[in-house]
Amino acid sequence: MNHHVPAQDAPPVIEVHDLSNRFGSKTVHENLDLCITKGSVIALVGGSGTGKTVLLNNLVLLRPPTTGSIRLLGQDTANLSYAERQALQLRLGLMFQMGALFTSLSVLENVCLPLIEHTDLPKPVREELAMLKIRLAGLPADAAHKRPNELSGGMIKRAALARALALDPEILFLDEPTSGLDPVGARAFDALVNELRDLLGITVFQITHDLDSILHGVDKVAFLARKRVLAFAPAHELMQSTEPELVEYFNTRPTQE
Amino acid sequence: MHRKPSTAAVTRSPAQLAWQAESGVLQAMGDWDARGGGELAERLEKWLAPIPAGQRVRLDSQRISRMDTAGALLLLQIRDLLQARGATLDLSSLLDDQHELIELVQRVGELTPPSEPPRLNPLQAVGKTTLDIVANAYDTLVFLGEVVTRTLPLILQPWRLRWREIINEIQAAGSRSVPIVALLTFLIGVVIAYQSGVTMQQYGATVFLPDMIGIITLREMAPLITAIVVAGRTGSSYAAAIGTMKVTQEVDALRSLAISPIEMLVIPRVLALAVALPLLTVMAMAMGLYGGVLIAYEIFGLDLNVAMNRLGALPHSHFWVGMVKAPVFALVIAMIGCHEGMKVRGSAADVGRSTTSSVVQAIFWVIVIDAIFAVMFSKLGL
Ligand SMILES: Nc1ncnc2c1ncn2[C@@H]1O[C@H](COP(=O)(O)OP(=O)(O)OP(=O)(O)O)[C@@H](O)[C@H]1O
Ligand SMILES: [Mg+2]
Repeated sequence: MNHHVPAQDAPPVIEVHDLSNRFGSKTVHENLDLCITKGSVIALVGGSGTGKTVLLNNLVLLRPPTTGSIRLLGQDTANLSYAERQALQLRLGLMFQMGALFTSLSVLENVCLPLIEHTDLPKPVREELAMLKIRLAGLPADAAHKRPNELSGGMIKRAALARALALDPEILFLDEPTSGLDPVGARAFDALVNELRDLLGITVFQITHDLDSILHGVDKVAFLARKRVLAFAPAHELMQSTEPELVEYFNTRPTQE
Repeated sequence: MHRKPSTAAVTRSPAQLAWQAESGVLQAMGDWDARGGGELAERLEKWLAPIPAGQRVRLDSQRISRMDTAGALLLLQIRDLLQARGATLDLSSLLDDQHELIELVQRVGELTPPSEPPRLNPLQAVGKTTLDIVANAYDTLVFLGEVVTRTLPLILQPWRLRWREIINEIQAAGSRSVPIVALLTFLIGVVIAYQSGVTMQQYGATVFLPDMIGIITLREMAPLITAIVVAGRTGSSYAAAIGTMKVTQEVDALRSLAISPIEMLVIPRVLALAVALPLLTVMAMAMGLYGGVLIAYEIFGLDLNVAMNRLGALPHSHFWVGMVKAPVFALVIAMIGCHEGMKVRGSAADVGRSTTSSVVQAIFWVIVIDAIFAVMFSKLGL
């Protein structure tokens, strides 16, 4: 795998400052800061219920944070007009934890939908482009005409990735992309993500619980604990850390005699 | 902190080609991405038309401002189109990352989507539709049988019924329908009394107005209006709720926990409606009579005592004819709603279709059954 670490002076594409999220009296995030540079592959990890999906929803403009600022691709997301917001959203790709494919459309139609809505490409080109994404995501060609309810869990993930890639986004957000894939498929998925980053200069931000992905598939890990990003560093550095949450998560408690 | 506006405020320029005949260079310009390539892709043949057959074309990609997989796909299409005309396209001067994109697209290989599964020919389509109808009828019978065979033992052992669900459903279907049913039947009572009163007045027969209002309201109007409102309001919600549970696999989850979806989802709803609809019908009758008598008294000057006496003198059978129908309507509405819900397979659009279909079918059958009752009662002389 190409461990191409992006240059330190690459421009930031995601900048989160002093963000907090509250549901009623329950605080999920407090004073959270995060800065991600262009072309990096980042894993967001943390225990269940630490607010990974909530943070992701903030970043993809589906849910505004309670307070705090988010800049995406150099644009402040707080006071966007409808048109600016749409234009920005086109540059983000999102793969949902459960796939969220449109159940009444086939896989091919699911991937074609953003192309139909946002480009003028003629139908044959559109379909070839969609097939390209479907094949890239690792689906066999004959899955193209299947409906989501005829797909296995892993195939749904791949179809969802294909749809997220439809418009060649600049930032790709993935919510647990490799859960539900077999180990070989999961490694191939990591390799694919890294390749897309190298080829298209995509920034990838993924939520994952897959230790193999965390250790080998990403550049840096953002570790969510105590309602903020407790650590943001390459995985091997986090393994050295003595923070109790990190020690517990990576199970690296030193065996002391 | 200093921030480059780099990626934020970029102007877009569509992908373009320029053919320089003397040097044999095809120059590509603009945004070769999914959003910039539409116009070019639409008229690719026209752009390439001036290139003569047998020409060796060199691609100059220096002025491509951005490129993604859509652009790479277009370049490959251009190459194939030129090849088909005996010309060749030289891609060697592409930039490194552009080249890698082309390689990525090429590596995937065949990109035409597989042909869709073939359509049925008309004869097959007729056959399939017929079989579907038969299978559907069979399904309906199986469903009916399952509900009945599972309900009977439960009725004999009422402590095994899911009382909490039943009470909740009675509340949802019954008490929350009270305002709309009350208002509608009151208004229809008013209208019937007024319209028939005007004619009766000409014959000096307004004293029979209460008989007329009583018979129409008790026998037909109240049970029918109540059933139709409930079919639209409650039958549809049964279909939507159960249908959504099918889509989210909640019904399968129940089965996997060895809980019968029929017992858990269908029977409480059927029983609840069988209780709620007759109660609603009684109230509807009262409101219809109230509306009618009010008009007889206010507009046609009928003495209230006389009106009440005439209503009281009506045979009780009118009331019972109306009341016998209510539970039958309830069973029909609830069963159709639940069955339509259970028929949903997979997609969200199915839920919408089933919900609509449940309302249409329920109202259809309510009116058909009402007509059958009317014939039956008239043969029996009730
Ligand atoms: N709409 C909501 N209303 C109230 N609380 C919410 C809402 N959405 C999320 N939460 C709470 O926020 C916390 C974080 O939820 P989130 O879904 O982000 O967890 P997660 O880190 O993605 O977990 P997992 O790894 O299990 O997916 C949870 O405690 C959850 O109960
Ligand atoms: Mg989550």
